[in-house]
Amino acid sequence: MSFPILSVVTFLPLLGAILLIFIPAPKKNVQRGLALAFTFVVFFVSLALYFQFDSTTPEPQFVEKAAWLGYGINYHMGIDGISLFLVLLTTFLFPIAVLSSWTYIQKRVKEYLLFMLLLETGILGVFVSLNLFLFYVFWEAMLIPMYFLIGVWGGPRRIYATLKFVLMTMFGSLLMLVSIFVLYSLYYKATGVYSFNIFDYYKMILNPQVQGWLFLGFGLAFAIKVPMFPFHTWLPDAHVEAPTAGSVILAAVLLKMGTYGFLRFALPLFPDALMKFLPLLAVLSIIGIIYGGLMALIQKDIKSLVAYSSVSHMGLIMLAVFSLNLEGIEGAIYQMLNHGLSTGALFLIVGILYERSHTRLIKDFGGVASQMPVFTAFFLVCMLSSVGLPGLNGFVGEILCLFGVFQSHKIYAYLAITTVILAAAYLLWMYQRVMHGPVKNEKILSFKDMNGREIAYFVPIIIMMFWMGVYPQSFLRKMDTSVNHLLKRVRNREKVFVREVENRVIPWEQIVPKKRAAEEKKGDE
Amino acid sequence: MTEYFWLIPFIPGASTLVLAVFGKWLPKKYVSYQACLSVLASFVISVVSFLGLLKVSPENLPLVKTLFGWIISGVFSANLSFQLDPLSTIMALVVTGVGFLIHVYSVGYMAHDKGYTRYFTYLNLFTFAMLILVMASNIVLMFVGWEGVGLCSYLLIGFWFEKDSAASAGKKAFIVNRIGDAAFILGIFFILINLGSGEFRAINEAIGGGLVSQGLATLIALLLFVGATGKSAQIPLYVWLPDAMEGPTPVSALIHAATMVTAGVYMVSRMNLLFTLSGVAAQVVALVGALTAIYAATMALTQNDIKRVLAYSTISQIGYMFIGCGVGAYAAGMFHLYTHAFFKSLLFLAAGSVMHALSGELDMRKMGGLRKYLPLTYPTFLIGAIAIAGVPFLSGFFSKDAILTQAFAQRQYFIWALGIMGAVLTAFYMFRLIFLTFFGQERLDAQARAHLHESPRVMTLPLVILAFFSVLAGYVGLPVVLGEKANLFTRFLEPVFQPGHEAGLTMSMEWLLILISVAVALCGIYIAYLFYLKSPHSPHRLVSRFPRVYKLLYNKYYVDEIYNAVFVNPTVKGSEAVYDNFDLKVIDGTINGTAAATGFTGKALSLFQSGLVKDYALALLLGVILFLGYLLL
Amino acid sequence: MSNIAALFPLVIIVAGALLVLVLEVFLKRENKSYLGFLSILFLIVCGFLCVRFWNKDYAYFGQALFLDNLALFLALLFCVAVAFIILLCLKYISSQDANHGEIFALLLLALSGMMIMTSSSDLLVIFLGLEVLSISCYALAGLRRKDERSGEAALKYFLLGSFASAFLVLGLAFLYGASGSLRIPVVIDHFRAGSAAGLLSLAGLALVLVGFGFKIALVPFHMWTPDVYEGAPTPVTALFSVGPKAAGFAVLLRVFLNFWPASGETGLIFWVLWVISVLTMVIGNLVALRQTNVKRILAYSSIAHAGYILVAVLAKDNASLIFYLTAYLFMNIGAFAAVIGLSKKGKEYLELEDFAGIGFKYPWLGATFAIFLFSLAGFPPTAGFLAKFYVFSAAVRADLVPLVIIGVLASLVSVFYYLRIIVYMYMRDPSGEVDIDIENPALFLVLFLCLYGVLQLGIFPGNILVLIKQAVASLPVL
Repeated sequence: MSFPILSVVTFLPLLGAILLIFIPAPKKNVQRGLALAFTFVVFFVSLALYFQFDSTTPEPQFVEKAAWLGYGINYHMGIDGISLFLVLLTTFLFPIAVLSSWTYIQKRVKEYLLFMLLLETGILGVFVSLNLFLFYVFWEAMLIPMYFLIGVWGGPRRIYATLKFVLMTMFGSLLMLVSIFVLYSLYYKATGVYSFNIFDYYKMILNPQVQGWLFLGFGLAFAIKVPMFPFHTWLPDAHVEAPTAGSVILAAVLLKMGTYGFLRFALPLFPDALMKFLPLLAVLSIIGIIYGGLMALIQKDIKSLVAYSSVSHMGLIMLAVFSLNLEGIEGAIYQMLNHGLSTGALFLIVGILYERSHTRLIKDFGGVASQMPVFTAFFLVCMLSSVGLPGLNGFVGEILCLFGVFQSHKIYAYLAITTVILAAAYLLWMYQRVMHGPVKNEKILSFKDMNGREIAYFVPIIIMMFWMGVYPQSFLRKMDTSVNHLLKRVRNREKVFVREVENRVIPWEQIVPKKRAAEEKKGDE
Repeated sequence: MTEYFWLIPFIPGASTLVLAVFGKWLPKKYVSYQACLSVLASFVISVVSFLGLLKVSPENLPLVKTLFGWIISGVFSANLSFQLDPLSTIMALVVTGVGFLIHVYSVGYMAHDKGYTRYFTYLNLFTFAMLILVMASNIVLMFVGWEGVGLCSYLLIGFWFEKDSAASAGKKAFIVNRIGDAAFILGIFFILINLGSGEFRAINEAIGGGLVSQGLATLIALLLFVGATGKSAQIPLYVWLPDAMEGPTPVSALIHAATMVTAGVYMVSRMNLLFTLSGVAAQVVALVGALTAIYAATMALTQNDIKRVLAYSTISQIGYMFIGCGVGAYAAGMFHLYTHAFFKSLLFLAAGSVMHALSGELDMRKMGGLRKYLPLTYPTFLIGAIAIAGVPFLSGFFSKDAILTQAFAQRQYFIWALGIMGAVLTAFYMFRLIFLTFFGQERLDAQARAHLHESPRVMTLPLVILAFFSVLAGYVGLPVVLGEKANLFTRFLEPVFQPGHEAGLTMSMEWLLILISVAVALCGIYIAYLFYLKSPHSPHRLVSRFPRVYKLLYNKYYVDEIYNAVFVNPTVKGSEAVYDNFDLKVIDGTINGTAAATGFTGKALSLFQSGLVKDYALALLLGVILFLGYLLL
Repeated sequence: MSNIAALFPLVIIVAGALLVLVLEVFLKRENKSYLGFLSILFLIVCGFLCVRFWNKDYAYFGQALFLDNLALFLALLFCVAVAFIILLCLKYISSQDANHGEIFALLLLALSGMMIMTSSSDLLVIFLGLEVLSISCYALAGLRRKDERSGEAALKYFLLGSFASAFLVLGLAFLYGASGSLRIPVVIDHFRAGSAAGLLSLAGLALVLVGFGFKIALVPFHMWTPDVYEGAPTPVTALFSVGPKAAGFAVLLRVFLNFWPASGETGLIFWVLWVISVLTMVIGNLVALRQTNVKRILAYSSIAHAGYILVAVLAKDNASLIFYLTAYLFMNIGAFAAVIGLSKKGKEYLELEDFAGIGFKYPWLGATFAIFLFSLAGFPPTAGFLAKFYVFSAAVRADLVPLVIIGVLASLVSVFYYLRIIVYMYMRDPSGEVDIDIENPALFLVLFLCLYGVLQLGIFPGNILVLIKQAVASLPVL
């Protein structure tokens, strides 16, 4: 086995955390520096994943496998085109998160950074595990640092928020655990071999009845994590109370664990059940889109506004996932990254405002733009990327998601398209009330514009937004094979969508074969 | 050099980037030079490509340059590719040409604004986006420009964001446009799925190849047109344009008169095969256009804000362009777009110059008799007015006449009639504007009176140039009566619009129509003369005669109020209600309720824990009894 | 094979107990702790013997006393547990004025009782062991003479304990009457023979169950637990929560291992146990929700854990049962150790309020306690998670899905009250007057060892798993 890059990426933060313990408490900047250094190194190492990644095979890559506890419990890691970018997103955002809490966190810096690093390990573990046991270990372990981050460094209602977050999430996860057990024993009974290996489970054809129950088990856990419509209430609380970096990670990465779970487990393992529940799930997603948008419209606290906007965005992502076609799912994955960037960035924006004003209520702001020109520019870009303006990342994902949905189910698309309007409405309105108009109070007059550190961690985000908006090829092409493979897996057992996929276009060849071919060549170069 | 046409958008684009990143440190002078020259450069390239294009034989059109594949996933494919054909060339020329003049004008107009650099950044960005819109070779990329110009209009309307009204106006513009865009996106999807590609050539070939049913064509066309009503401020989505006048005047001239708002017309012309294929859609376009034309004109009658009059007139003029497209005379529509670009931006800039002279005064009731003070602004303004009023031998006359003639020729008599009425009103309110502003006694207030001065050269020069074009631009599109080949404009566009079944009208009929529209224009002006010069009190009499009508018009048919009452407020209020009663009470309530219930059960159960041994023993005994009972019985 | 050596471990412990009792008389009050070290010495020797006897299957008195691997493993476990308890006592007895050397003797005696219970297949001998254990427990519970809560606890424990023992004896009598023997194999044989005297033997078995159910605190025989746990000296409580439980379950295991396949009436007993385990898990956790005294919380949590372990019995999965016991030993003693750590001379801090903010005030104590709580709550990567994981997955494999669902939901409830303690420790501001003397190396040694155990068992339990496999493999399936 070659260099165990995934293990390194995953456990380097843990190492950092351990080292952190031995740095005396007063040396705050040393601690910050250490944490920053580690997250940075992790990021640069993870870049290798991108460049080494072979986009021609759907098989997991950088695979590491080692016996662990026996009985099918192995240490088994690997990534494919679906998890690759989620890993990168995580490693990309953590240095930024650390930087953003440089001055924001003043008490118990050491413990704070400790938990940040632990959190990174937990999240990365979730994305790279190919063994259900390992996956579940990370999935649960990740809750602990988040629990502390919200509970210790959070706002006034932090305890309520953090307990709500942990308990609601665990409710789902525990039922998922039961479903995992059932899969495990079914596989054992079928083959006489113990296994937690996802790819073994992919081979099983379960009867629809069983699938239904198992799907509920998994689906609920992921739906709560995403969060889909009726399970979303932990999100605004958690976001409002969490410290800035906490919100950033929560929105940018944690929620993706839910969507990722659907892609990795729920879809390929239980296709029949999926078909059964598809209408329900789609409707919930659509409700989420519209409901989230409307709720965001009338929030008084900027953070909860962004939180509800997340509900709306995630709704679209889920809907696209359930469209079960290439465009939809690629769009969904792409939109996960976008949402990670833009929503994360918006939370950073709120953080910057909060550090200066110690309030997050929209009504306390107004006319900030005239005081903080640089900040205004960044805010504008982030907002527009979240609105889905062409040329920025948001558009690419959004249009692909909607297109995918449109292909599999026009009505859904008609309803989902409202997000285009709603997003503009709630974000622009908020932006206007916060940034525009006459300066509201003398406190705002004293606001300092963004300092070097803040600019430093914002620039990469902005660059990524433009890059992903202008040249999505560098991301989409890495997904194709994996997504196609996933779809094959889902469709092979289920004919419905094959039909939908076949009768959707007049084959272009009938029109002008040569030009099309030429374009595609250009497109792929 | 023609093959470098794809650079046209990117020069302003690059300039934008520089200004956006380094603007903070750049001196004003440099900023203005870079901004203007970048647009000028694009203009030069456009001219060159135009000349080059004349040599290219029609079957080789359009020239396409694909830079790279942009969004490609499954059947969704959109390249970053541009195309050069007569249509896009004309648009490019207008955008860069007029755009350049307005950049120059802005140098003077914005000279003392603290947001100087920001202003030019936005203006360059707009040019960039607009050029992408007109030169894109596929509909997805076109949508990029489409949204991009929307953004710039948002930014520039709200340029003076300290003013709440400005900020709100910008927001309104963006959101209203978004409504149209949603439909536009769906249109795009239908195209991509059913035609397999968003490339305009492909779309045309698909339609030509009869792969699109009429019903589908109608569906797509209408969806796209909804987008157009948003961007081009037609009924029912026009409401944002009047408010857009909150922006700096040059912006109103460039974005909200000459270029952006006409994007809808361009898009419809670009999709002409589709609209023609589905007769219905074309009919709808024509009807909406006609109604808007007259509806907006009526609102223009009573406004006192000089810019708002022009805004409504813009809406109405775009209505004419849509009439042209709707009746299948796309060339005529584009022709009007092209002439309108000159005289309407002229009018706005002139109005701006007036404001400049009166230190920001907009209310016509506080003007009057300015002609002697503004030796350059007055004549140019007058030329613009004559042009738009449709007086013969100026550009406006030719284009409007072409449209109306076509409407008549297509037996769209109703549309034609509306158009004619609109023409009367146009002539009337334009000259109402002229008379109130430049004639009659002075109604200026003191401090405006104090430093009343003609604008600097940098502002007046563009006026003169635009005036020049407003007069002559029309001569490239003379009516057929002056010879079959007289209409160079139409012939140039023939590769794009398959030779429209040119109206089978007799010469005499043509002449008759021309006479009618001339007469209409003149009488419109005459009424204005009667009302506002000869007997200045007649308007008031009229008002007191029909107070209701006047109120209705003056308040723009209360449409804003209605929209707020029907759409905006219910949404907000409703959402608040749902949030308080459902989200917090029901959903959150369920969660917290469950928790509370669990805790309560715990409490209840712990009551058994009395601490008394006898109770414990009893419990134990009971357990045993139940246990045994269950086993043995 | 029959070999006198089988007696050695037991003999050593008993001898140790007696020696301690004797020396206790001559030692001055302040250096009673020597006795502690002495007894630890004995424990080490005993442990060493257990290791040596591995795989030897020594037996004596016929089958009445035999050291199969299970017995040895558990004996080892008990030795470790008692060693921990002694270490915890060293300072505790002096600072909480329970400074009696007897405590060590009693601990050793209790240990001997447990060893007897686990290393016999004769129900009568097992009962003997049980009584030895119980009586020393009664004494231990009442060690803090000055503190009337302690006395009360002892009395309650004694009364109810003897009440339960009565049932046990009655059950034994029935069984004997039915099968003419008390050796488990014979009894089971009798069941297998069919329901000739079915009712009688069933009743007997049921009453035996009640007897052990009381020791391992199954609902509805659990009522004594909170009061006794609260009243008894904390280290003793720690012992109660792991020792007798483990012993009791070991016996159940021995009984039911062969019982399940044997009898036609298994159905009945099975469903009774099913219901009991549900009740135990649910009630234990629910009642714990509203407690404010940490010892009581841990008491109820130990009830709930008994429920989980019972699931393993129902799943007929011995390995996971033993693993659970092992894991539970480390995390629970660890938790109690932390609670003991939070005390100063003459004062123990046991109310939740006292825990406010101590997490950051005493980082090591807080952190370890937090980890033990997470482990009890079943978060990975700790022993608690793996234990629950094994038990529940075994249960699912035995088609007990509904039971498992109830189980995980119950443990969700438990998450709340475990996290609640952490909330106080880390998310509330210090209440101020809490100041503990942190000078307690023995305690920290225990904390560290338990921490090590919890993580080792949680992440790399490989070797212990192997041992456990061997332990359960050696069980004689008749």
